[in-house]
Amino acid sequence: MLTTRPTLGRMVQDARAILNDTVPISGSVRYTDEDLIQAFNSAFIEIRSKRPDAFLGMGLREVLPQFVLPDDKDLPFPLDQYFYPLCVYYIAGKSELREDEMTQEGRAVVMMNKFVTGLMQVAS
Amino acid sequence: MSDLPLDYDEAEYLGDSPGLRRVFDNVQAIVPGVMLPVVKMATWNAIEDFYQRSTWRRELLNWCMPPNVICVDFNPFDGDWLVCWVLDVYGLGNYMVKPLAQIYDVQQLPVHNSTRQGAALVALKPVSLDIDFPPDLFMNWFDTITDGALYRLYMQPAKPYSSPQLATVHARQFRVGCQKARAIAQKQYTNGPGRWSYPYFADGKRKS
Repeated sequence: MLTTRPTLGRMVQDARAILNDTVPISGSVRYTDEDLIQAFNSAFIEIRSKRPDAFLGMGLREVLPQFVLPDDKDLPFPLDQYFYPLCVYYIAGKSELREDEMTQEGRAVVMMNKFVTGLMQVAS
Repeated sequence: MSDLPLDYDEAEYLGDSPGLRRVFDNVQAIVPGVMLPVVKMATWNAIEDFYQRSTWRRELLNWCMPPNVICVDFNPFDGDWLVCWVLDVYGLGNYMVKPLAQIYDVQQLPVHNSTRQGAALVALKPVSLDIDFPPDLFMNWFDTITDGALYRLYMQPAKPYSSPQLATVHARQFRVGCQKARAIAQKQYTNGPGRWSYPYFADGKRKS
């Protein structure tokens, strides 16, 4: 059993698992770490606007940080763990919104909606 | 990246007070998706409101005005408590209270040339959630404080736990608790039926 708090690196890995991101033959990935962590930075701003209470510990009048990979790979997830799965959904959903032949808009909409309803409602 | 305190650490928000911990436990077990810093904020607001509404902690302070001094300020009461209301002033025929805790002698001028002394009944409120609260707060008023925290949480807009109906119920219970505490404090902290006595205005006193 893991008792340590999730890191940003693990969050990106979890999002990759949903995206099924590894190309079978080449083993390369379609979304770079930079793409995925940028999606998390957007999620961070969305959470700040919709759930300011999540930032009481960090300070409500501070400039939001921008995370980068691989520098912040081992940084603990900066919010309550309640928001961790929601951020994974957001990263996967935002990545699926990208215009290419592999993306599925339906999945993207479902995951983005899951993020918003998870922030605002109990039944999500 | 900035140097913000990004390490989300709930333990940092928990004090040593078992009474407070019990309130936090109860609220977090009841309200879905609520975070501890928010519970702590609501609890602090509830406790401060409780002391202000109920005037539960009262002290009788002796004061003395030297010649040519017309004002006494009772704040700060000590490092942990502030005077929030002046309930009554004894020893001055004509006085004015300026919030929070200043009394002014507004008698005619010749009186100011002498030393005046008397007492004042004041109500206190805590300065922060980090102080050592008297044990009677959580022993006698645990439900009231929990109701106060819950109604503040349910009242918040656009949260998973927003509920105007529950907010109304808990707000009513909180206010009833504050009124009961005030009534008990006015009866010199006796919660029995009490003895019959002349009404407060019969001997010229003001209502506290």
